[in-house]
This record gives sequence, structure tokens and C-alpha cells, in this order.
Amino acid sequence: MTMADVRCPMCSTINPADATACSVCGARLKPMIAGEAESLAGPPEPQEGEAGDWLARIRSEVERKAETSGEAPPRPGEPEWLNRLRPASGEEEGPPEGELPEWLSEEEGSAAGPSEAAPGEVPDWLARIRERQKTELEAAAEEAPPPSADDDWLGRLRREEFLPTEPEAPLGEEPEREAPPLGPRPPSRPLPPSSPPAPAAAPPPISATAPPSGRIPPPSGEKPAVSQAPPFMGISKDLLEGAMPKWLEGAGPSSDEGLPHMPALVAEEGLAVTPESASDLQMGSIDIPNWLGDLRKDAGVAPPDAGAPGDSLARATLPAWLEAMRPMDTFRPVVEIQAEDAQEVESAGPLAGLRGVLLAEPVVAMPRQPSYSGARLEVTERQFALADLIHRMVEQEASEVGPKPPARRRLPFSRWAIAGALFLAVALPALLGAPSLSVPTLVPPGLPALITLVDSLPGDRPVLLVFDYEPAYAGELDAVAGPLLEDLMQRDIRLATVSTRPSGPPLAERLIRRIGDAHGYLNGQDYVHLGYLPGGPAAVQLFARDPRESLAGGFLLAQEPTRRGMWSTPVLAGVQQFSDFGAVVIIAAGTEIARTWVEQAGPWTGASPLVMVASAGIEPLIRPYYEALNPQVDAVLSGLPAAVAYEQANGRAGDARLLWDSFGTGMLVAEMALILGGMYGAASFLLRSGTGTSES
Amino acid sequence: MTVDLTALETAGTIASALLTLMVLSYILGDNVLFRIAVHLFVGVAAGYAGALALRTVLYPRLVLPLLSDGFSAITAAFVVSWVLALLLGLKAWPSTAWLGSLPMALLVGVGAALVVGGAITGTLVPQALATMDSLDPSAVAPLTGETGFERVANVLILLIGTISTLVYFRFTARRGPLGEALRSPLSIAVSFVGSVFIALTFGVMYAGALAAALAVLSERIQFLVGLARGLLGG
Repeated sequence: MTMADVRCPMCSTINPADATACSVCGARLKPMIAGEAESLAGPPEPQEGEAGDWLARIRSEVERKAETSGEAPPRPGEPEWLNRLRPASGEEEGPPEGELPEWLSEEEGSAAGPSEAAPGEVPDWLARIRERQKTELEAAAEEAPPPSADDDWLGRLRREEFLPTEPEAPLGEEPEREAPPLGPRPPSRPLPPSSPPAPAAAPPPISATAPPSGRIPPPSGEKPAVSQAPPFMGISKDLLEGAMPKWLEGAGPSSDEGLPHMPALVAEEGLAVTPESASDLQMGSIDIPNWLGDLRKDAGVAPPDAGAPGDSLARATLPAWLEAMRPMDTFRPVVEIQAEDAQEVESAGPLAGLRGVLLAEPVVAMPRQPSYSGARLEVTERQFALADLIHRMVEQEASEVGPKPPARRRLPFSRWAIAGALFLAVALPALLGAPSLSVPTLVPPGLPALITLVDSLPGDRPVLLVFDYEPAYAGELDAVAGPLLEDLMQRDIRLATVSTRPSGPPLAERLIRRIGDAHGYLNGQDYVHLGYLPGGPAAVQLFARDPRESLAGGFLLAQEPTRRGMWSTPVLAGVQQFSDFGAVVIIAAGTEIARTWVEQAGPWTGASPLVMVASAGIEPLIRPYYEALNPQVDAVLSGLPAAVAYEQANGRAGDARLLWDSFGTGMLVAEMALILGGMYGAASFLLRSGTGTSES
Repeated sequence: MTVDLTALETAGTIASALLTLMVLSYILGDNVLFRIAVHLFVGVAAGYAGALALRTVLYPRLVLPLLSDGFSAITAAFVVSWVLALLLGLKAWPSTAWLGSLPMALLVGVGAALVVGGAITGTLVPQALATMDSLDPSAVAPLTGETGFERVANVLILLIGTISTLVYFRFTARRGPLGEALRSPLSIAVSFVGSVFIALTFGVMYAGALAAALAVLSERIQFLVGLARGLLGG
């Protein structure tokens, strides 16, 4: 790099002098205005009058030291502050080139801390340096001026510390101090390089002797003024008493030798603030705000941690209110500040060579959690309520259900009363023959069509009776189907029975025997039981497709139950298929089985009528198959009233008429119970509503 | 109702009367007599069904052909029947129950296909067509003998009942601002009419079930009274 080359302030790339922009990052190298050239070259010199006396003293001291040390004049074209920094590294007399001592060459590889060296192994160049340091120390001790009132800041500080009852004047009420004008801040002193390995003949630590920098320590017994060094600068008690921190003990006095003293506005961590530097700062003359004064009160006895200088710094934390506004987990709440020794030395840019520079780029490039706004769920109030409901449901599922308390046993008086009334109403006609109810005069709408249908049945073809009900319904369906069977038997129509339920064939035998005895019907001659048809809907369809192949054996047959024997009876003579039956009468108590026969066997009936004898409970569901324009059921006989009417049409009283009186009185009591129950329910509802309204 | 008091039938009639009383004892609450009667009914029904299946299904179809026709009765259908029956019998043991899944799948599959097919061709399509045909006031059902006025009234009731019931079972609606279902006032009114029709249907079915139960109760009471008179010589 030549003097004409220009270093990029952004990426430190060397660019030609005539370049206006960096060839790597594209940053502008020449300022857009004339004043920026100076700012790029270095901090501007404060104008005369803007700098206070403290800055003038700094200049005079630097010039004086430069003269005494034979420092070369500043080079033209270089900023003045850089020329003042240069002696810090060039003043040292090092070993001649190529004469690097062995102990240093060994330590370079290991980069360990300072090691002890034998006194006899000290080279000549180092001995010369130490000699000169000693001489300077002695001269400085002799030339030390008596402590002035302004320089007695440390003494005043100690007095304030140990005499807390002494009132402290607020900073804002110090008219004798003149605050320095706010101007460009003087360049901060570059931190010394890492402590070199101290030789064995290193001077004693500062705590035992005078400061190695040649600055004149305050005389013993006298303390510097407090106003010159505020307590918040972190001066420890040990340091005030002349002790040096341990981390500074390892540093040789030669490291700071000859460096121009650049007082820092803020005390650097771990560095002792001497009265001389404090006097240069003239901190008391600065108009410090009240909050800073409060800090100064609180920071009186807080010593810095000598072992970890960086730890005493306040961590970069966000305030609570700002933390609450911050997007969730997008930034690290705390930026770790490493110890000073661990901080890297800036290697590029205008701050090259400085340690502890805020690493702007690494912070920006610091890995952070992505803040995708789209990844956040925008939950509405309803969704939140539903999620909460599900959450509570899951919690209730996991919670253990306690044992249910035993229910209080209550006697069912109302049930007993209704049952007693029903029993009495049903039993009275059977026991006493009274009351005797009149038979219905209105004929059900479908009954005349059924009677006409039965009258038109051919006498040479048997009628298939399907007994698909359970024994529990036998009391009703036997009475309902009785008149139809009686009508069929009066016409000497042969009967064949089948059932998809195991209990169907016995029920068929029982009913036919009870009614057929009066008509001389015999099993195997006038009627036959085809038996149980297993398989549900599939068996029904199979039976409708091919009746001879679907049934394996009959029920109560006179001969061996073989397939051939069953179908060879005179009852089933001429029946080859399902439509060969004169009619199909389905006696069912359930909707499903009635619908199964209509759906599966209906298409195979052909011209044969399909008659449904159903329980009163399923009649509403059977009616649609009957009252259509294209009916799938040709006749319906349902309920005890229709059976009584059929018996009257036949001219013979049967089981239906015997049950009619009991059935009628029982229905009357049931209807009264329903009405009373409805009234009780309505009254209770009204009472509850009235109570609720009055309470509300 | 007369009761034949022969020797065997007398015992059967008395047992029937006792079992009837034991079942009716449930009026007093759940008790031992009721439980004995229920267990007895279940056991007898299961035993009877098993015996009936063995006698009228398994023996005539799997054993009787071999006894009557010999090996000539062994056909493909006969072997398949035997294999399926054996596999189904293996469901009695947990370790071999999985082998019975094949005949069970066959039974369930064939049964479901038959039920669905029969429901579509035997109920769904005919009833839908009948509903549409019934809306014609000029058409009169051949079996009911209804007049023209009755036909018009039936058509109106059928139309209103069908539409309102379908509207009642309409479970879709517009979503409100808070997620609630918004239905128009007309839809709510028609839905209410549908609920009335559904309630009437249930009421009619309940009345039918009550009538059937009362008929059964009357028959049982008549039976008990007749038995008592027969035993007492009345």
C-alpha cells in the first residue's frame, strides 16, 4: 500500500487513489462534501475556543513528551492524532532484528501468559529499557508538583466515602466548573497489546511502588479531590489506597512507557485513574445531569471485578417495556460482552488496532430466530373459545371420575298406580264380564279390499303364510291373523307356513291347530310347515327365487324330513315357484322383516297378492307400500279393531272379540293416564316457568 | 279362551302362567323372579335355535346327502359348504378365530349387498315414484277407495309433510359473524312444521305400540283368568 492508496472505510480494501468507490463493496471512497475528507482522515481538531483548558493541557503534555523523547515531527499528510499514537509502538527499543530471545520465541508459539525468566538471561536491550524507565521514574518523582486543590480528587473522594454525613453538593449547582464544549471527542487511546511475558527482573507491582507510567502519584496522606473523579468511574477502594488490580500486575511497566497520555472520558475497566489524568479530564466542570449524579452517589464503594473486567459492565439488556413490544424471540435479549482480554483487536477500517470495538457486523450477522409473521396463527375469538373448549374436554377426559354416590332409592308409586289401574281395567271384563264395549261400527278402509281379495283366491293353490314374529307378540298377532285364517279355512284353501325365525314354526302350528280343529284341518293334508328359513334377507330372496331349493326340511312333518318328501305332500302339489302360491300372507311384528319380504320377495310374487298382517305398531310404516298408485302390498290387516271387524264380517266371533272388552278398557285407562300425565307435565312446566320468572 | 288341561299341556300351561307372573313382577322393580324368567327365556331360545339349526339346516344339508346318496352327493357346492361351515366353527376358539373371518365376510358382504340392493329397488325408488305420483290430484289410489276431495287433501298433506320434514333435516346454514348458524325465518317456520309432522308420526307409532302391548296384556290376563277358572273348576 502506498500513501496515495485509499483504504475503504467499510471493508478496508486498498483501492487506488483516484478511485471514487471501493472495488469490492462499492462504498464511496471520496466524500461528497469537502468536510467529509477530514472526517475520513481522522477526527477533526477542535477549533480554538471550542476545546477547553483540559484539551489544551493534553496537547501541551503530549508535545512536551514528544520533545523530551525525541519524537519525530508528524508526517505530512497524516492526521495529527495518528502521529501521536505512533510513538506508542515505535518508541520501544526491541531486540535487534534476528536476535529474538529464546524465551520470547518459545512463548510466541504457546501464546501463554507471562513467564518468569532468570535474571541472568535478560538481554542487553531489555536491560537498557529498564534502566531508562528507572531513571524516568526517579526524575518524575522529583518533578512531581505538589497536589493542587483541583488534583486532590481522590482525597476528596475518599473523604466522601468515609464521611457519608458530609453533604454533597449537587453537580448541577457547581457554578465554578465550566463544562467543556461539546465537540469532537478526542481519539481514544488504543489499548495496549496483550501483556508480553514479563521478565524476572520486572519492577515490583504498582501496589507496592509508584505508578510505572511515570505519572506522579499523590503524596501519601493526601487524597485527590472528589470532584475531579466521580465515584461512578468505578475506582475501587484498593486502587485508591495504592493497590493495583491483579490483572494489571502482569503488565510490565514498559508497555505504556512513552505513550502519549490520552485521557478517556469514561474510565476504562481496570485502569487506574490517576490524579493527573483526572485533572486533565476536568470532570467536575462538566454539567452532569441529575441522573448521572444519582449514579455517582450509588457507585461509591462498588469495586470493579479485577478478575473479570468485562463482567462489571452492565449487560446490554432491553428494558421491560421495550421487551414487551419486541417481536417474540427475534433478538437475543442479552448481548454478551466478552472479557477485555478475549475481545478481538480490530484488524481493518479506521479503528484498526483497537480492542473492545463494538462488533457491529458480527451482531448484525448474529444468528437469530426467524421472525416470520406468516407463521403466527391469527386466532379469532371463536377459534380461541373452541380451542379452550377442546382443552377443557381433554382435561376432563384425563381427570379421574369419582365414584358415583348411591342413588336414593325411591318407591315407584306412580308406576304402581298406573300398573294397578291397567291391570284392573283389563281384568275386570275377564272376571266380571263387564263392562262390555260395543264393537266398532266403522270398517277400516282396507278391510273390504282384503275380504274381496280372499274371496277371489283360487282354491287349488295353497296360500303361503309367513309367521315372522316372536312369541311375545303372539297375543296380538294370533288374534289379528285369526279371522283371516278362519276365512281361508272356510274356503278350504290349503296352507303352507314358513318363518325366518326359529320360533315361527311352533307358533304357526299352535295357531293353525287352534283354528283348524274346528275346520278339520290336518297336518300334511291341509296344511304343511315348511319350517325355519335361515339366512335373513338372502334366504328370503333365495326362497322367492326357488322355493324348492331353499328349504332343507319342514316342521312336524309326518314323514322323514327330506326335501323331496316335504314338497311331495298334496298341500304343495303344483308349486314349482314362488308365484305358484295363491297368495302370500306375511304376519310380522317388526318393520324390518315386513320390509324385507316386500323388497326381496315382492318382485317374485307375480300375480299373486301380497297381504300384510301386521302389528298395530308398524302399521304407519306399512301403509306407504299399500296406499301408493302402484301398491307393493295388496292388503293390510293391522290392529285388534280391524280383526274384530273382520270377525264380524265373517259372522263368527273369535279371539279378537274375546280380547275386545279388555283391550277397550285398557286403552281407556291408558288414554286417561296419558291425559293426566300431560296435564301434570304442563302444570309443572308452568310452575317452573313462573318460579324462574319471579326469581329472575 | 278355553284351556285344554291334558296332562302335558297342564304342566306347560302352569309353567307359562308362572313365567308370566314372574315377568309381570318387574312392576315391583328388578327382582330375582324377573331375572330367572329372563335367563330362562334366553337359554331356551338359544337352545331351541341351536337344535333347530342342527336338525333343519346342518343335518339335512351336510350329513343327509352323504347318508342317502353316498359319495355321489359330493359336489363343488357341497365341499364349499363343508369348508365354510368348518371355518365358521373355528371361531369358537380364539387361536383359530381368524380362520372364521372368511365365511363371516362372505355372510356380511352378501347380506349387505342384498339389503342395499333390495332397499333401492324395493323401497327407495318405488316410494319416491309413488310420492311423485301421489301429488297428482287426478290419480286415485286403487286400494284405498278415496274420493277426489280426500285425494286432494292427502296430496296437500303429503306435499307439506314431505317438504317440511326434509327441511327439518337440513343441517346446513349460513355462518354468522360469531360462527353460529343463520337460517331464514321461512326455513325456521317450515322446519317447525316438519317437526310437527315428525312428532305426529312418532305419536302414531307410539299409539300403535301401546295398542299392541295392551292387546298382549289383555291376552295374558285372559289367559291367567281362564287358567284360574280351570284350576278352580269355575
